Order: sequence, then structure tokens, then C-alpha cells
Amino acid sequence: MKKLMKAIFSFSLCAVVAVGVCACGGNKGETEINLEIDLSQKPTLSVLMPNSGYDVAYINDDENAKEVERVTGYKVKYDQLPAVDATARLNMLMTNGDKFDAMKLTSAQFADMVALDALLDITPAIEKFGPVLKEVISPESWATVTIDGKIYGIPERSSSDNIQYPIVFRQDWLDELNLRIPTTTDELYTTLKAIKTAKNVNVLTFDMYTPVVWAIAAGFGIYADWQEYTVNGKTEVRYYMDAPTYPDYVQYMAKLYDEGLIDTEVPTQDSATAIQKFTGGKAGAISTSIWSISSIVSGLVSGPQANSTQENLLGYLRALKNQDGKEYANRLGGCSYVTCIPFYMASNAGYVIDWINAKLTDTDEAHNFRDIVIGREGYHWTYNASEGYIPLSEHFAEKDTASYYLTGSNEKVYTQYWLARVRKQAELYRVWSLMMRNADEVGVYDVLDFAPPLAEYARVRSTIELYSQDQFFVMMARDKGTGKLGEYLTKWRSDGGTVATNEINKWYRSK
Amino acid sequence: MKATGSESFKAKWKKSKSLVPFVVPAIVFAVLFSYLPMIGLLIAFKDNINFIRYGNPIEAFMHADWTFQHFGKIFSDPEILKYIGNTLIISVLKIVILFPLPVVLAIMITEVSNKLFSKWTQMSVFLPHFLSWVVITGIFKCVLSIDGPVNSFLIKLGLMNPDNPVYWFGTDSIFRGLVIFTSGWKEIGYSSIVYVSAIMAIDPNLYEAAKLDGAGKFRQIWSITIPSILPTIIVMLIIRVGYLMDAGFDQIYTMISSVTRNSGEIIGTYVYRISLGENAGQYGLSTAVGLFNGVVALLLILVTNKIAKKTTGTGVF
Repeated sequence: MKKLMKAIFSFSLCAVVAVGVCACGGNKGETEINLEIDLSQKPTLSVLMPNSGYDVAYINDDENAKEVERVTGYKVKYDQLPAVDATARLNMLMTNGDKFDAMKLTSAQFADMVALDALLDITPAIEKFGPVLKEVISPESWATVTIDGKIYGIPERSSSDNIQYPIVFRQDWLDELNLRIPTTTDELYTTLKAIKTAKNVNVLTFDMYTPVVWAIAAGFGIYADWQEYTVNGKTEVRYYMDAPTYPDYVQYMAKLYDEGLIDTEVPTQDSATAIQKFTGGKAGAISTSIWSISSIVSGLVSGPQANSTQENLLGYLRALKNQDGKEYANRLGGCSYVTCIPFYMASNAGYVIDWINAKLTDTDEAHNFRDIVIGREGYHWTYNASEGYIPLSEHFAEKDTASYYLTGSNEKVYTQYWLARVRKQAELYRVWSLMMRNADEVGVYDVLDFAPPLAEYARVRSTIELYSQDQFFVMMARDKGTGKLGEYLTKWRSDGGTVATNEINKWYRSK
Repeated sequence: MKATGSESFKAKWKKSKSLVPFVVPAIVFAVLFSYLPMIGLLIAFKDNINFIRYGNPIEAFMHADWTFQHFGKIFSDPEILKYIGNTLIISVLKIVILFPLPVVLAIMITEVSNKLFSKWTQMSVFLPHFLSWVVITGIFKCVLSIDGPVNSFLIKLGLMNPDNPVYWFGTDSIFRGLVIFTSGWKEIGYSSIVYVSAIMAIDPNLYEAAKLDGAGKFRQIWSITIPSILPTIIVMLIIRVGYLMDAGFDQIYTMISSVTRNSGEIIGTYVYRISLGENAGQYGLSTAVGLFNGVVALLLILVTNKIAKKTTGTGVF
């Protein structure tokens, strides 16, 4: 009995110690890039992707995944981050040292990882294995992933720099009430008021993640999260919450909210609910992105009708004119995704760059990039000189998920291919064209769109973003105005607003 | 005195040593999963720990600087103090309002003479326990939306001004009430099970005797049922008070929004936001808040146990 007891105790002690040691041990892998590799011996690459909305088996089995394998010769095993708490999951995977040869991250996640010193400097690998990359990715895109001359990722430039946040009106209601699309803040107020009186609904709806309705904020001179303002003769970059005209914007929105012109439930509803309200006739206008237009159209009309333009049903306000009577609108730019390599996964870095290099190749001999993005001529699309690439409806749906598989884009040709995707639905193409009319004169970029990762800003970004979002809804719905804005701004500044503003201005001046 | 003590220990050991192997797995389990992880609490005293950059956590730990600033922040940041306050208020309200209800429900269920009806009631009130908070919040958001059934009904009855309907999920002053109501709706039925079984175990002869003595239903409940299940109630209360600092993370995480954060954000949701939320990684501060939370919870348990022992003679230890 005594022996047994001893055995049990010593065994359990060993177990405890062993588990402790295992939990703490375990080294991460190689940190030096091997440039002497044989590119004909292609390994299977393991790649971490953003959430796709499908399960992992599906994304590994998709036609577009096969297309990528066909044109590059690399077998790839895809894994994906979850839809919710993706960044938390990413932190966990990186802490564990999970073996991903490459990761496609959002630019925010990329900045976080750079701040944690978690990524591999891939400059030498690009020099040796990425001749196409260097040619088809623009210097301004490279700037977003370069720190002190070292490149930490492959930037994926957005398909085109879109102006994409209109207010969508029910054109049939406007026609019925003899109203036009408003162009100034006063006109917007009277228009909403008239719709409210006639239809007795909360007129304008949007979701709880939209503290700045760009189309309206433009009326107050706010066009982007971070932009230049001149205050007391001094020009500097500021956040929207810190903008000189922000109080006017909040006051205006609070007035609309108080008079029932903005949907009461905006502070607690997601975008799907907002769209349902609009298509269900409980709202006469919605602030949304143009990518929701297809689902709005299918919510309002059915049958073959749904595939044509909807001039009589939907009207768009791109942006209100500012106090000087000029129209400017928020324009998206920069890189939405960056493909990078964990610092401990250097062993396959050369192959990863070679793989991406092959994906971006688009020459007369090998249209790899075009094959991936829009597929084959005569099967997925046809071409005519005046309109460009026209999708062929029966097979083009296969390419719906194509952009998901991109890891960097061929900036020289992407926009013309991508237009084929906008043309898939007539109304989407109409709104996109309306929004993009003289976009170069009207569009205003966020100054951070082409900034490299900034360390201090990365640390406080989500705190200050979430805080300003929260406080907007608090002021609009609870405070009924800007009474406490001074207090909120003090808190915002001490929580990181000042640090971020200083760092951004320092970078901006040195640019 | 000493000698007898050690003797009696020896005697005890002799008597029950054959039981020891049965305890060993529990001890191993507690050491592995409760005590060893406590080493991690040291993170609360470290600044900007970077788990990702280093090969293993110990190395990361060694590379970070020691600091006390996290505790300084807890006790100086009015935001954190407010969230601690919210946690306590919501939790105390939950205990005061919701703790007695399962007892009442259990007595009502056991007093129903129609067994079918009693079973059916019990079933239907404990079903919500098996729904997740995401689902329940979804249901209530729907039912309590501005033009939802509850508001329409109240307007029909003339209890609510149709031009100014209540925005249940978006009003700061209503939020805590909503949290307590939904929590009760979900858990009362399930919590009552333990009391129902305690009541079932009471000797029926006691009731027979009371009836002969001319005691009515209420007298029987007051003088027999409640005293008999009092030990159960006390144990449940002590356990419940141990969770005082946990005001219901899942629930509040799914219900909260910008406009209700002021009265609804609790330590749990705050810690989640700063440690695991989007681009947060403030492990030091969140561990410090967690440690503080744990210390308060431990104190609460000890105090409640002491009070319970003094007043009723029953305690957990």
C-alpha cells in the first residue's frame, strides 16, 4: 500500500512538472530566409486567409483555388480566421507559433503584427524571387508596407479607388412628393421632413457602426477619418472627432434624431436590419455602401426586373455640398489587405514570393492574373473595345469568390478586369458610375491610406476609434447635442488621440 | 495536547488512507488547472509583454519590464471605477431580486396538486436555460423593438404615448432593468430544480403531523418547507455570492451598445475589450483587473460564509 501511494504521488508530481515544461517550451522555427532554393521542388504552402463566410473545406475546394493552383503550380492548403474576433484568434495563432507559410491580413491586423515585431523582413526574397511584384505594384503601395527600408508584406491595392457611401433614397417616394435629391444640409432637412409628414416613418436609417454618415458629414467639411484642417491659420491632420466642424455635424444629426427624421434604433441595429427596414418601407432613405445595392434591389423587386436599372425606384445622394457650395466625397484608397510571413517561418519564404510572383504575372504569354480574377475568354467573359470586359452570365458566378484568393494585385490591369464584376448587375453599375463621375476632382482620401504602419497609432487605434463611435451615438441619442463634447474630447485625447495625432502629423510632414 | 493531536491524525490516517488514491486525481487536477495557471498572474506586474515575438512565454516574460502601473490605473481611471461600480450594482440587483424567485417558484411547483400541470410548468420554465445569450438577446431585441409587439400592445392599452415609444435596448436608464429581467427569464426555472428536489426530500410525515395540528398551507410552508430547505438555500447563496464580481459576461456582451455602455459595461466586458478585442493586447492591465476581481470575490466568499455560519450554523467550509 505504501509503495502504491508513493508511486501515485511521484507519478502525479512528474506529470505536473512535465506538463509545465511542455507548456512553456517549444521554439518557433527558422528566422533566416534561404535564398538558395530549388524552385522546381515546390512545397505545399499553408496559407492563413481572412474569413470567407464559407467553411474551410469549401474554400479549399473552390474553382478559383484550383485556378490558382493551375497557373502557379503550387499546391496550397488554405485556413481562415473566424468571422468574429479575428484579431484575437490571430494573436493566439501567432503566440502558439502555428506554422503558416503566409498570412493574408487586413491592413489593421498587419499594423498590429508589425508593432509586435512578429513579421519577417521579406526584402531579400522579393529582390530575388519577385521581379513581377516589383514591376506591377506601385511605389505608393510599397510605402504602406515598408519601415526603415525593410519590406514586411505584399500590399493588395483595392480594385479601384471607389466613392462608395451614398445615401440611397426611395425615388418613387421622392417623385410622389415632388421632391428632388437634396444637395445641401438645409435641403436634406426639408426633404426628410416632407417624407416623414407624408409617410409617417423614421426616414433615414443606417447601422450602429456608422458614426460618420459621409454623405452628410461632407456638408460640414468632413470627408475622411484623418484629413487636413486649417485651424487658426495652422494646417494639420486631425481625426474627425477633433475636426473644427464636428460639433456642427453632431448638432445637426442630433436634431434630425430628435425630430424622428433618423431611425430611433440606429444605435443598436446592424446593417442587415437597416436594409430590411429600407426595403420593407419603414425608412425612406438609407446610408450604406454601394455593395449593398444588389441586396436592396432584390429586396424591392423580384424576377427578371431585378437585373435591370432602377431609375424610378432608387435615387442617390453622393455627398452634400459643403459650406462653400463645393462637393467633395470620401474616397477609398490604399491597400485593404497585406500578405505577410510570420518571423519564424522564413524557411519557405522564397517559395511564397515565387507563388505570389506567378499569381501577378499577366503577359501576352501567360495571363495568370486575368485567369484568376475574371477567368477565361468566351467562357467567363467577352471583350469589346468600347465597354471593356463583359461578364457572361451563366459562368461568371464562378468568379464571385475570385478576389478572395488574391494575395497582392497587379495594379496595372486590375481596375479594367474588376469593372466586369461591377457590370454583373445593372443597378450596381449605374450607382457605381454615378458615384465615380469626375471622382478625381471630388474624391478625398484619408491621409493614412498610404501611410506605413505607425507604431503608436497602431497601439491606440481601436481604442480611439471605438470611443469616438460610442460617443457619437451617445451625443446624438442621449445627450441630444454637443453639451459634453469638450469632456469627451479630453478623454479621447488622453486615451491616445493626442499621441496618434502627433505621430501622424510628424509622418505627414516628413512625407 | 500536541501529542493527542498528532496521534489523532495518525489514527485518522490509518482509518482512511485507503481513500487517499481517490483524492489524488482531484488534487492533480486542481494543481494543474487551478494553481499552476496562477503563475500567470505575474503578468499583471509586467509592462507590454510580447508573447508573439518570443519562442516561449517564459522568454517573453523575461523580456518585459516590471511595473505597478496597471494597479495604479485601476484605482485612478474613473472609467474602470465606473465599470467596477456597474458590476457590483448589476450583480447585487441580480442577487436581491432574482435569488429568492427560484425558491418561490419551487414551492409553487411542488404545491400544485395536478402532477401533469406541475411537470409541464417545470419543463417550460427551465427550457430557456438551454438557449444561448445570443439567441435570447436576438429574441428580446425583436420583441422589444420600437414597433415591436410589446410597444404596440402598450400603445393599444393607452399606457404609452404612440409619438414617443420606449427604446428599450437603447436607453441608458432602462438597461440594467432589462439585464435583470432577461437574466431572470432565462435562469429562474433552471435554478429552481435544486430546490424542487430539496423539497421532495422532506419527510411527508411532517406535513401530516402539521395538518393534524391544524396548520394551513402557508403555515406548513413557513414552518416546515422553508426551514427544511434552508441549508440548501444558504449553500446556493454562498456559491452565488462568490460569483458577485461576474455580472454575466455573455449576457451583457450581446446586449450592450454605445448608448448603454455608461450604465451597462462591466469588468468582464471591459477586460475582454482591452485584452482580446480588436488590436488590444493589453494583457498586463487585463490580468491586473482579473486579479483584483479574484481577490474581491475571495473576500466576499469568506465573509458570506462567516456570516452564514454565525447566523444559521451552516456554511460551505
